[in-house]
Amino acid sequence: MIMAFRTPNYWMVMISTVPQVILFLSVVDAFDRPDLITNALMAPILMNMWSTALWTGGSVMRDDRWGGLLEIHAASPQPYGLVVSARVAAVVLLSLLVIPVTLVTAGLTYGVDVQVNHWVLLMTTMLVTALAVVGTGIVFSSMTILSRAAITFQGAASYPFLLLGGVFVPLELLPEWVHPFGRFIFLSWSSDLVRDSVTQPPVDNLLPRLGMVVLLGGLGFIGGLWLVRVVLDKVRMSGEISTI
Amino acid sequence: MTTATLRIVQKASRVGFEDVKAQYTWKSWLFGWITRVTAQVLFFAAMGLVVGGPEFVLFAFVGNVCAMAALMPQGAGPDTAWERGLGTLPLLVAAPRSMLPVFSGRCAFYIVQGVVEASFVFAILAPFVGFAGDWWWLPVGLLALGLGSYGLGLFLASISIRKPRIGNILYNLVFYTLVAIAGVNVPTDVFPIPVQEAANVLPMHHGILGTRSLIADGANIAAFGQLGMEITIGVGWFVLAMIGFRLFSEGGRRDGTIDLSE
Repeated sequence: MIMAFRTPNYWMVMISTVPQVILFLSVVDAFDRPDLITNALMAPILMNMWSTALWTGGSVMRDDRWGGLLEIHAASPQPYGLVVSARVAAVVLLSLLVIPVTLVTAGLTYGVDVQVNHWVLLMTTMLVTALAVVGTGIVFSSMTILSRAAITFQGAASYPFLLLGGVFVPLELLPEWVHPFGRFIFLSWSSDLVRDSVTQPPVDNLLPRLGMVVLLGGLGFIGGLWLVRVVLDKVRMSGEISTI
Repeated sequence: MTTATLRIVQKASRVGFEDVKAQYTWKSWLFGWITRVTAQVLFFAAMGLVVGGPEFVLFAFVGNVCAMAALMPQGAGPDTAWERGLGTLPLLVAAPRSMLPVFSGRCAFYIVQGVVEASFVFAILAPFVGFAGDWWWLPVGLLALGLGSYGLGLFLASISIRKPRIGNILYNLVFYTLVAIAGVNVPTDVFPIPVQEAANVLPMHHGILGTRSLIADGANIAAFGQLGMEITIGVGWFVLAMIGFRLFSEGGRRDGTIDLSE
């Protein structure tokens, strides 16, 4: 966790949250649509939780390789996946700092004061989402070992997922044919739930929807752990453990 | 004197070009980077599905294509700062020539890359968002945006070369601030006066206004004036960057910190 604090990538995401919040609020404000303030606040929050997992969490394994620690982990009897998970989880936990940063920026610039209908649901959704984000971070972490092009793909995994994840525009408003793709991304379920928890009086189908976030996030987590093992085995076999 | 300076700029640009070439394969460029840039433009343009309707989609589409042309040249900051980590800096300081032309050429290829990539993304998406207008003027506007942003990018480089770790932070902060206030998604005049004044002396604002006008109404004096203003602002930041590099190299030579990474 302390390592993440020292990572410039982490602060990069935190600091660029401020202009992003202003960007989204200025759009909502210019068209005089106060009903969309939730979208404007949620977009930078989810975007930056995702980016932190992608960049700071995603580079856990690469940092170990550069630091010459991957050999030690490969030799250790403990599963490396556990170490990676704990470190990515710590990073994601820290990324929750983006929530107060967003709210304070919104309050100071546009005087936004959010009224939430269902606090418990909002908190639960954010927590479950954060856990699901951990899975994503692990998947990307293992990919950085697999290919040198991973940095490019790390960059590529931001906006396509954020668009399909409906973080500003709900998935249902995007063209029909992309819906099935978007529904495989846990973000699309999370973002709908966050919006509803703030604006809707009663929220429909609550448990199945939360369940989908857990399910997709869990699949990402299991997939990520499997990938860490497979990738580590692969580089151990091919002797590429310390090639950069 | 001038020919030698130009030769250095040219060689430095070549290094920059080779750097970019080494970074991508055509596959990772097309499926990785271009996918991301296209999705980024779509992400912001899609906001029109909830606010402002098709008019907003088109406005944000053109604005974000323009921002993509500015994104790459502004990235000159972090890349130049790498030079310090690579250990080439003491050599540059020891060389008899000034290191300024090296840094001006080093990332110049990003201007070309920005224009090509933004035009490419425009061509992919234009039919889907229902764009109608003088598209052939677009690269002209994008080139002005690239030149304007490169000046600022180099200025950021002259700061981040002192502290390479903040290079990316600074770059992201400045880029997203410009995307917010320069008239990419909403016109700059929705902001308070001081913000408008800031946008006025930073790149992107004038370049975007000029580009919008060119592709909407065809060639007109006012649009070229805006693009000229964009390039002038770029030159202004470029001069500041050169002063910054000069101060850095002289300061570093004096106190012997040039080879220390922070």
